[in-house]
Amino acid sequence: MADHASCNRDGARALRDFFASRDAADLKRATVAVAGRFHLTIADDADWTGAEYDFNRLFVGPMAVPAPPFASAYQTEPALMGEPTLAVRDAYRALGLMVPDQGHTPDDHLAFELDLAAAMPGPGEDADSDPVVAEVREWFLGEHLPGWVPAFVEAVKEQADVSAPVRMAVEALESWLEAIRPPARALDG
Amino acid sequence: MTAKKCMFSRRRFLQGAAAVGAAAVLPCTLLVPDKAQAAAFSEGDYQTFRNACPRNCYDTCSIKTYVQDGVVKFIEGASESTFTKGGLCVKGYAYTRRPYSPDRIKYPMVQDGRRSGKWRRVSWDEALDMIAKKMLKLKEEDGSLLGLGMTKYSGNFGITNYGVEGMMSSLGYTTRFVGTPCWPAGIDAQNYDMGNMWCNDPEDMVKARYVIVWGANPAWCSVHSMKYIMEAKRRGAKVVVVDPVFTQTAAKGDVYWQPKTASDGALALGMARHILDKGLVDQDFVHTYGLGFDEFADYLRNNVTVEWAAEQSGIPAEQIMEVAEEFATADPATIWIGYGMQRHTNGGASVRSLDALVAMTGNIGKEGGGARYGHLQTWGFNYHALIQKQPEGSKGFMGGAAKGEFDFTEGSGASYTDRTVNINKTAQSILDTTDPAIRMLWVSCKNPFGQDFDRPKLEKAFDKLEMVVTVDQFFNETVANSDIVLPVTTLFEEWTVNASYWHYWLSINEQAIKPMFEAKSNIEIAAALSRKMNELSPGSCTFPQDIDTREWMAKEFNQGIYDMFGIRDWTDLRNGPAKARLKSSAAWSDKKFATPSGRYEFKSEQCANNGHKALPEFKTGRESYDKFRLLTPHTKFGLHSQFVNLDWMHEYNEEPYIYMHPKAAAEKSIRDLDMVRVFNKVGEQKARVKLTDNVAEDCLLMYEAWFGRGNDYNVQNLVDDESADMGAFKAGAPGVAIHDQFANVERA
Amino acid sequence: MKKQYAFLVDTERCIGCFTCAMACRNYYHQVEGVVWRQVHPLSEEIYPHRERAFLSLSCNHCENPACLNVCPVEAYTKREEDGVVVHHQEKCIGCGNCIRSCPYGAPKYNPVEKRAEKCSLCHERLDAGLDPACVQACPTDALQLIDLAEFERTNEVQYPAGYPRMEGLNPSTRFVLPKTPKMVRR
Repeated sequence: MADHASCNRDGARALRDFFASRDAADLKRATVAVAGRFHLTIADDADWTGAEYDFNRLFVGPMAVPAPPFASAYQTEPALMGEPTLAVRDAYRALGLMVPDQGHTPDDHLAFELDLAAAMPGPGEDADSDPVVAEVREWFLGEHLPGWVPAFVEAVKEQADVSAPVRMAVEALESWLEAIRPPARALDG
Repeated sequence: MTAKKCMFSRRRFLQGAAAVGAAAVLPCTLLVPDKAQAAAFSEGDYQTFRNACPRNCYDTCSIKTYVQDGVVKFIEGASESTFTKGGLCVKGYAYTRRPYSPDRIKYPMVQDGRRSGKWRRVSWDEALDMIAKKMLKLKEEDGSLLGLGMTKYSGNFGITNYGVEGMMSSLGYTTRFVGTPCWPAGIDAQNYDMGNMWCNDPEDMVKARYVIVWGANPAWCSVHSMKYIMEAKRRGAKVVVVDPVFTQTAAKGDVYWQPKTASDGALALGMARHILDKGLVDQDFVHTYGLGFDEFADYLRNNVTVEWAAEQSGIPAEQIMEVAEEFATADPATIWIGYGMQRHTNGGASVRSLDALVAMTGNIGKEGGGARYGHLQTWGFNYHALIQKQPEGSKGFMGGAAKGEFDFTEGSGASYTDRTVNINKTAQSILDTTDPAIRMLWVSCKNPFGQDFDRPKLEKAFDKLEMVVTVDQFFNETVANSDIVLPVTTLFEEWTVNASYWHYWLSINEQAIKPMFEAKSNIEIAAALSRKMNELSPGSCTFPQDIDTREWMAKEFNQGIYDMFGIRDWTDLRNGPAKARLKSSAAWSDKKFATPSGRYEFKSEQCANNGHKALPEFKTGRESYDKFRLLTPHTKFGLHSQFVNLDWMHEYNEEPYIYMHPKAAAEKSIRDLDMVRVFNKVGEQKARVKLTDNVAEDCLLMYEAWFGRGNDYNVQNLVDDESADMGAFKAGAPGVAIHDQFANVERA
Repeated sequence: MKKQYAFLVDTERCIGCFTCAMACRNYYHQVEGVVWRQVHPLSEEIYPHRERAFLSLSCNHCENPACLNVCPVEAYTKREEDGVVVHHQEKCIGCGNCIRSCPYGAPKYNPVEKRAEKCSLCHERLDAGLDPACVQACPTDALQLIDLAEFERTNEVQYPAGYPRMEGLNPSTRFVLPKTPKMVRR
């Protein structure tokens, strides 16, 4: 159980670093890590600059982005700083955390949320005695992330000519999302 | 109970004070420990801020912004302003969409290969490094910074945004695109006639007994002014709307005149001739306060008849006579002279005729009267952001620079100046300018590919530029044609101050939220550039390197402003906008004109000296060069290329259309909503057509706007850069004949 | 007559600027495709100039509302004090009865919440002494809030041309009809 949870956290960290990439160098490092964590393959001679252009086209800009990596963009309305942002800010606060320079970058960026997933103690770990943490975990992993990440993944898959590193990361994200579902949820089906 | 759409409902994990969980040693690298404050939010509380719409519209609304959890939740118009009166417009209410659009430009980015679509994210430092090095290279190779051009205009009229011009000055002598596509011909005309462009307080229109709205469409472009026209009407005034298109404003008047486009001068002169014949001239005004009226009267008698005016304009003679008599006998009577009306090769001359109509009937200087065009009375700021010094030893242009209409600076007396080129001929200027060529372009508060004329020519011109830097909030065609894009703040993310060129209110613009992502305001960009320039080459830029936008906003105020608005300090404006204390709502109430003679100059030597006629004589319009006249006025759903791209706006404005008369369409077998192609010597544009007799048979109407995501609709594919007659006198360069364009159409 | 808040839609003063529609959206942030207040151009049979006269419509807060009558879970109430018909989205089960039954199309389907929603006359603003967002926003006072119990009728109509005549529901919105100017064309 503990192994499974820590495996999920390592996966979350690797994905976090991917979606927090700023340039081709970051992307290369992060992609290799994701490939390792999730046992996926990536060509040695991948076009990292091309992947950088692609990453920006999909997630950053300056054009309108087809797959904005923010919960708000998929939940109540395609905007930033919506209700999901503030909900997740509360979740961070419950664990004594906040995004750096709050107010500048939306709290619900995928990289921040993956960071929280990586930070969260798993069930059975020592913080389990704190009911708030358990509630946050239940909500975050069972409701919040499944509430928007699949739509985000879909949005990427709908695009033509997605670069190999991004495709791979998104595939990894999908399987990670499956793996983190709390057991109680799975029973509810 | 409210619907779930209540602002406050959201998941709460904490009841009361913040919990401090196992924060200390959590293994994350992005999230940081919470500052352990008490629970920040109490239900139902908002922080409110004062903002102002800086989009250069007549109405310049005062805004009240409601923020919660550091997020702008909604806005409304300030109720303290009798002009704004608590409400904004369809564009203003879409504002909360702008800072939080996922499509917003977030970081400085570099395009590898212009128009390639291959963008890399870079840090501000990297971006400014590239920019600074290019500027220094220009200086080294050309011996000056004249190879650096700045094109900027009305995208953001918060006063501190003049820091862009200030930034250019602080680098050296550069090439400036001066002039304005907006209103220059009319500005010159009013300056020749009266010595300044100065309109009544629009709120006094309620006192008018006769209102002619001539070539303006306030129902779309100045919605807050409509209530004054409606009130005048309710009190018994007659409202006549003159426009080649049956606009929304026209539908609200008593009488609608649809003259031939660009025949307005003839129409006004015809009315003037009739007023003269009927003995309805205000003799006291024209002889005590006017100059040259007798010569004008002679001109009318020898050159103008009502029948001639009817033939020129298409308005029947009896109508011309009836309205002329009504206008001359109503007291007071007023004409709202629109900017569309002067976007012609004879625009300035036409405005002079309309001014003359108001003057000869004694309506200048009357409350409720006047020749209303615009004013700059409330713009007496310090222009601290604008006024920066060139570095020691800067070399520049030796031929004297033109000044734009918003340039309130005094000449420096230096022998070097900036080099100025015509903003209305941006493409041609870039192609033609040499010694040195314009090699680098800085774009801010403007979208040249959306607004500048002859788009195909502009593409060629951009090919000549070695580096294009664009500062903007959203991706548009200009960004697509740039090398570097820098993210800029919205009105909620910076401090500035705003005045209007129409009403007399003043609004503070407070910073309500932190800038999203890495956006910086124009003056913060200038400061950052200065730091980088001086790092690479000490002394190469005089712009202060550490600035606070709030301080810079405060520095714009002076005692003159305080006295005019009856405030102690700018902080008073945090309680709401303030209105100028006017001794009269009428401009020129003392009839002391600012012309050389001190009188209203029916005959203006200055005008003749500048290559026009001394009297407001008739000037023929541009010859047609294609089958239909093409008009490209403003849409109500956007302010040029701003707002139309927002998804909220798409809910109500789904696609652009071409408007055509049913008879003309039938001749070409075009049916309603068919896809058609409009084409002329400049280029072509496709869109679907809507048939309506709101437009005349020989006219095609397309609204100028840019529609965002996936739509490349752009009227500049059809508009050339033909100059208007006037504009060089007081606005830096001649205007442009935007509505003297011609084209043909066929089914696509 | 009991107090009944209603919209007065003066189509003569209305300039079709869509400020009311966007003011509602600015305040409530409806999801894409869900429009509580829409501004409809009158057809050319009714007003002879295309897209020059409009009806700004949201909900009629009827005396005998169809939505309330067909709701299986009492997710609608008509307020005693002022006749505002309020939708309680948290009770709504998204059955669609109201959407199908209202002849004026006031309730809309929210595909994210999978429930209905509609204009509830900004009752939380009314209770705070404020005007509805759309009414406050209108630059020409074309959209006003009236109380039918106190309203002095002049030339207003309940059913302008083209508007469904549903006397059983007794919609409370009142309209002033638009005028046309004298046309002098070249």
